[in-house]
Amino acid sequence: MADLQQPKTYTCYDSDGTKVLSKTATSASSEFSAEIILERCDELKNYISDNQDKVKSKIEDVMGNLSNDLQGIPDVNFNDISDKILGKITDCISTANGEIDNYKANVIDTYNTLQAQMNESLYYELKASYARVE
Amino acid sequence: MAENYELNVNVDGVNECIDALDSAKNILDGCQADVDDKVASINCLPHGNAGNLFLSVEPFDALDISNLQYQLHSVLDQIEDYNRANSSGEGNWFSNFVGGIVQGGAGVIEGLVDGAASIALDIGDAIHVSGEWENGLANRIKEDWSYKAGYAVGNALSGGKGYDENSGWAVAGKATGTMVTYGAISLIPGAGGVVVDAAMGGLSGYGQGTQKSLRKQGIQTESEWANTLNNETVGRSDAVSKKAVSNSKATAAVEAGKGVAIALAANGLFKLGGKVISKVKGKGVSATSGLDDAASVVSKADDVANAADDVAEGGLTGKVTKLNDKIAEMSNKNADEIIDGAGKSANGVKSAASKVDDVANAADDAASAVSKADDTFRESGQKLVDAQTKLDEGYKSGMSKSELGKLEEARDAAKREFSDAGGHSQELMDAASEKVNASRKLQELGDRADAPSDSYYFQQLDEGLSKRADADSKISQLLFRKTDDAAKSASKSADDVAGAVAKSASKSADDVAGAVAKSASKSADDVAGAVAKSASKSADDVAAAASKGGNIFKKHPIATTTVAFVGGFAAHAALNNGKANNQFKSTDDGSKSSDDDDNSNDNSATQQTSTGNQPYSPQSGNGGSPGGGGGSSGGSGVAQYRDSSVSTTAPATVATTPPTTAAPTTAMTTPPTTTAPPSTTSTTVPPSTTSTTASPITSTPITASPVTTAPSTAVQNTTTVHTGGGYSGTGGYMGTGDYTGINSDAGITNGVTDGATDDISDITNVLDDGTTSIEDVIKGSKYTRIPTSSKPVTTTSSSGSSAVIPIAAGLSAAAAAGIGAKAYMDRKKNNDNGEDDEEFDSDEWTGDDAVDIQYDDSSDMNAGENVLDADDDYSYQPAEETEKYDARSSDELADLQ
Repeated sequence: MADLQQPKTYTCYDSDGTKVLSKTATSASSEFSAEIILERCDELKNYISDNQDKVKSKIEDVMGNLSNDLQGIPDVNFNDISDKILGKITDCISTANGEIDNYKANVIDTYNTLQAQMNESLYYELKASYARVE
Repeated sequence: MAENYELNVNVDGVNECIDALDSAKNILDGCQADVDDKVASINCLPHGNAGNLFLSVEPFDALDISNLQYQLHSVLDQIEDYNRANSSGEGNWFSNFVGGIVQGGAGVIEGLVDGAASIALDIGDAIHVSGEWENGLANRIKEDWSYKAGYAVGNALSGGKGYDENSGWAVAGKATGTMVTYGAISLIPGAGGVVVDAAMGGLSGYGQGTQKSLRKQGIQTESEWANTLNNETVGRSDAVSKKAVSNSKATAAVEAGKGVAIALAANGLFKLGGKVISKVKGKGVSATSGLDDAASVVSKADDVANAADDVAEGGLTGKVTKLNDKIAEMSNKNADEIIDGAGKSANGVKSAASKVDDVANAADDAASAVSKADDTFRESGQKLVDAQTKLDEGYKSGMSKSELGKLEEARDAAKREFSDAGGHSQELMDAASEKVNASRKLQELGDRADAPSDSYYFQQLDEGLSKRADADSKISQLLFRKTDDAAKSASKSADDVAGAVAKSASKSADDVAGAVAKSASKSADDVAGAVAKSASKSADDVAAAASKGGNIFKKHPIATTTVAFVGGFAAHAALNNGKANNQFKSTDDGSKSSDDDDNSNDNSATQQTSTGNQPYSPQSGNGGSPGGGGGSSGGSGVAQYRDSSVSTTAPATVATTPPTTAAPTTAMTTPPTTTAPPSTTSTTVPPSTTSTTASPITSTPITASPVTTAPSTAVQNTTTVHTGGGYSGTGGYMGTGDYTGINSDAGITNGVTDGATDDISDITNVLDDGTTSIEDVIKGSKYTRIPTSSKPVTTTSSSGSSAVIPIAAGLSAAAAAGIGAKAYMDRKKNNDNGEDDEEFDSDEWTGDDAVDIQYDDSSDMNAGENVLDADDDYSYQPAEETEKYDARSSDELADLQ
């Protein structure tokens, strides 16, 4: 997950420039599973996309038959009905996918923010004890 | 026509599709469930401040599929109803009606295509869509039900013989019912009592041989009565059905229409009976208690209503089973209430008809009583004439005193008998004596051997003849005194009838006379008997009363009038009955018989062809009335109606010759045609014309405004079809050719598909991420939206619950008003009497009219200063002793310090 910020590792030096130690900040993943969430969000999107084709196919079949059987009722084009229903589903899926993407971005942003805070926290902690922190 | 329109719908296939839609819906549901699970699993993970994943939409929402299935089921139901009604042949209006629903159903589906969310179109909706449609439905209801009610009632009453509205009896019944119900009799110029009078003439034929034969022919059979009622019902049910529809929920309209029609069938009899009674009373005679009882028997609406079920079950329901099935589905409490309130069903008619039948059966007895009384009167009168004649002749001939004494005793006995019978004995005796004198004078003149040839002699001879004729006429009148009133009123009846009929029915007096002759006997018997039997008076009682003094007409004039009325009633029935033609041809010399084309008033000819040598004076109009009477009595030669002013050359033996047979010489020709029964006109009103112009879909949909571009022509056509409803014209479904026209012109493929393509593009243009429902989709679309509510659209003015409520309210209001009025009147009366003067005394105000009310504006009510507080103690509390302070100046205070 390239988008997720990683914990930073800081190196501490004495006043004479001697390297004392290196310390890595705590990972934000300790607080929430952003990576897993993002994975599952992608899985959800893929699921929706996959089944969309399946649903469309089924509805088209049914409506086609219905159109034939109800042709005695004039001026009713059941292909339209099928299209409208499928269009409605497509729209909803599109909406859901967008919401999932938004959620993913939010997760990433939140995660990165958290990780940045953790990194910064460690930095200032080390800064207080050592002459130079990098 | 719509009745024959076949919906080419593969119902089974549609059902399969509906089932197949289930699988599609299941897929959607399954997918949506998976999506929900996945979202839930995501949200279960630690997500810090990121919050939960929330999807505002369901990607696989199956609601549209469910809606579609629902609509399809609804449409299929309606299609099945339509086909069922069509195939049964009993649902003309219903098939149209359902056709409209199917059309509406198509519109609904189209609405779904357009994104309309409505799915709840049902029959109730279809009915209630618009008032116009409702009216159309009402017309259909009244049209069919009025006839069906008539059919059923007629069928039931005629013992299953069926009801042919074109039959002679039915036609007669129609006209008769019309005359009776709508008071047409009174509208005929000079006919206020014409028919009655004519019937009176018919009455005069009692005791004559023609009576029985005429009676056999019958005036009204049971079925005729039924038909009369039928047609009255038809006429009445039109308006009431319409009213019922407008005042009740349309879902109950069919049931209500049925109930009203049936109830009116029963009510028709009631009114008919009431008419008889009112007619009797209207003649200005006092009803006997028996007649009142009879009236109550006939007019008891409860009896009619309570006994009505059988006919409904056996007749109406049987005839309209399928329709009733549907009605049952649609029926609600209102219909039941209406039916209950109106009087259940037509069995009441049957019951009431049986009463009428009983009445009719009893009529003969009463008629016999009347006839017997008539005979008694006449015989006693004739006996008195004979006795007086013998006595006078005895005096003239110098009979011995003892013999004269015997003759006087015989005369006195006859005198008492005739007086008891209600006759004017002295007048009769005087007339008899006058006749004897005149005869003797003539004899003397004729016996003269030296009969001069001078004018004086012939003058004397003429005077003698005239006196004798006058005396003879007087005797005849006195002998028929009891029918004198009838004779007077009937004197012009022939002309009146002829004129009235000529005006109203273009018929001659002969027709009327013949009709009266035919009808009067039985009808008179019928109603007279009805009065007797219905009033629980036995025929014997009547007979006894009649024979006692021969005053049946004097003591029971109501019976006379009743008879007369029914005679007139029957006359009209006969007038309308083509079968009556030539039934009264003279059998005497055959020189004259009525002709269908003979509309002239040839009363004189009619009379002359009678066997009787006692002609009726055409001027007097007697000839017409006795069409009944004349027909029967004319042959007898009895000067029944002879007016005193009418000179007659009839020999004295005329009066003594009992009337025997008198075959009417005129025949009724064709029935009057100008008085059309109301039912006819009502049933000819095309019921569906107005309704079809407004399909259920048309009036209520909300038309969306166009979205982008103007729709193509094809699309407009398609749209027009649905809003127009297509279900129009008398045929309904294909009447205006909307649907058909579109199919043939634009066609589904060329028209709708193209239009739909445009529509889709329109919709697509409208769709965005915020679009979450079909409603959103169709915003701005040109498509109309179908009502979504499953509840029927009702008019606010109609009280679906029942018309009883407003009636009750009205009665209550009336009662209240009555009470108030009573109180007011009592008060007023008391005031007039000065009783309550003190109570209303008041001192006149003498003060200053300019009252200056001082308000305390300083009080603040809002602050509750002047408001009692429940928590406060308002009991008396002694005032606290407050320390009194003296006012002191600052200087004084300084001094004190």
